Amino acid sequence: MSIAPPDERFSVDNTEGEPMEPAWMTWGRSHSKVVYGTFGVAVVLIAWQLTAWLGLVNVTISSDPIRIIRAEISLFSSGQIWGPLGATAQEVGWGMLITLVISIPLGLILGRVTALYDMTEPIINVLNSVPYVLFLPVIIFWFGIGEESRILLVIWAATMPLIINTTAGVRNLNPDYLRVAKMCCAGRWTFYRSVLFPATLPYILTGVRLSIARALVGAIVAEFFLSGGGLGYFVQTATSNFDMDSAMAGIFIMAVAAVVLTRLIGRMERNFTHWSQG
Amino acid sequence: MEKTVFVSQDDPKVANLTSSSVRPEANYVEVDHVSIGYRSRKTGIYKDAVVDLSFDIRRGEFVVIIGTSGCGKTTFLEAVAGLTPVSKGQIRLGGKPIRGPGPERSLVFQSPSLFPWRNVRDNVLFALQAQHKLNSETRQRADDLLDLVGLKGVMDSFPHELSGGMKQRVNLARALVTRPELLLLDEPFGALDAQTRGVMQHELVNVWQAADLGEARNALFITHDVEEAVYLADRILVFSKAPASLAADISIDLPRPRLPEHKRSSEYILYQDRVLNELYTASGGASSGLEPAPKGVSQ
Ligand SMILES: Nc1ncnc2c1ncn2[C@@H]1O[C@H](COP(=O)(O)OP(=O)(O)OP(=O)(O)O)[C@@H](O)[C@H]1O
Ligand SMILES: [Mg+2]
Repeated sequence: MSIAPPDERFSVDNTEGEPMEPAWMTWGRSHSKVVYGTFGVAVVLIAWQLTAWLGLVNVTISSDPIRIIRAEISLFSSGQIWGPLGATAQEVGWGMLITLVISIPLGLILGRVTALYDMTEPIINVLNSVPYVLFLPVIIFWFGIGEESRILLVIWAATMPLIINTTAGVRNLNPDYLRVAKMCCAGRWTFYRSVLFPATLPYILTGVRLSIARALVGAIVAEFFLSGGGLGYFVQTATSNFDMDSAMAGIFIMAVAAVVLTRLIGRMERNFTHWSQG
Repeated sequence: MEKTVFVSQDDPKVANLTSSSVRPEANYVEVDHVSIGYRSRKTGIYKDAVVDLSFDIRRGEFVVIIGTSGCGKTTFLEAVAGLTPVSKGQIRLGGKPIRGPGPERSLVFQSPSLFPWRNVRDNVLFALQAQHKLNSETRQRADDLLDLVGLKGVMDSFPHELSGGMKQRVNLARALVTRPELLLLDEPFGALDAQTRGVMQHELVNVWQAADLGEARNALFITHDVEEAVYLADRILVFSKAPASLAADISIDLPRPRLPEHKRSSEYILYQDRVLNELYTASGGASSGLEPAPKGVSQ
């Protein structure tokens, strides 16, 4: 749908007269961030493994990378992990879906209608400042300890940053866009869909990134308290059974999921909003 | 006006109504003792930007408004566009008072104001989309217009990939694509270098004179530039310094098609001198912040 902006990281200045260098060196130079990042992770893992081998730490308490890999293999080959992983994915998926459907239209409207904005701003600020975990007992009291409560906590955690970001984006709308829409006699629906939403998209995607991070925390916390399954519950039970390898393996899966999701949104931000940088 | 066609002229009531409501068809825009002002948000003090302005525009006229910076030209144009309400008097379009923007009017903004998330073609199509006029015929028309203003090759490019002159061409195409009866232009070439400006003026004249692009259409064009004004206008209205009122009304009886090389001819220069003189008088002498004489005159 769009021309991707030239990705500068892939273009290397090859000034004439400079000696040629091997391709991997060129790649390494232009990807120095990735190279250093991987290197940092490797150092930590190797140090961890070494301390375990040297007996500096007790592996039954701390586990070590190789044992985690083994645990990971057995968790996936036995299929034991799919249940918890699926449960968490389902909570986060439904929670985020509902969050998107509620927060984006609400944020767009609140940003446009000043009276509504003034009315809701203090409430939203308070709700955003109070740690959402605090609402968990109330949610349990109202909705019980089923999956609904877990999804509800995810929504509760994720929705505020998205509303706040969307609203901020709308209030920063370039007044020229509004004048063009008015002059072209755009109806309300056209205005919201074809002007306001795309103009606010950079803010919305930033909000989604914050939201997902909070949704993951919300889901795990909910699983700790509402022991019904999921990765949080899995890590918790593994730990209390002194199965540190499985617990660490669960944490590692969570970390990968978080990084993948954040990267995904980052990619969307670059693809959909390349125009806002240029 | 139209509705009187269908009733009998014998009915005395209707005959009365007819005689009072029929206007000379030739007057398309009627500006009737119009004042426009702003109320300061901080102090609440009201200040006029346009005072007691009255004139008519005939159908098919290309009218250029010229005046010193800050005299109230944009304010007036936005009132005609329907973006700013008038405080006193009335502006009528085909006999009906202006209450807001309408599909029969288009505005070419001073800054291009394109949507950066839409490519060139989709920016032009937005005007059609907003007015629910998007179909294969109007799409073709959008492409033809972009071709006409020399943007055929960049229809899929995004605004940030275009030069200032190209953006302003898109702005122009977006305004024209809905076939407006009245085209409003607010210093559309003000931010361009002299050469690009000349090319754009020529293109506007071309589009204006292109037979397939419309019937008798009106244009209201704002500028600082005397040479530009004479080149484009059937009629030049000189606004006084702020708050604006009408200082002079000059008909430019130069034949069309007009070509860029005519700008240096003696007839053009004579008109330019005349407009410049009116502008000096209107703005109360040379010390009023008026720019030095434009190129065409000083040579
Ligand atoms: N939104 C506004 N609020 C208050 N005052 C305004 C506003 N817009 C314009 N004015 C005032 O109205 C007067 C006329 O402004 P306007 O923009 O119409 O001038 P202009 O003739 O278009 O000037 P220029 O040629 O520099 O574009 C100015 O004194 C300006 O300060
Ligand atoms: Mg102006």
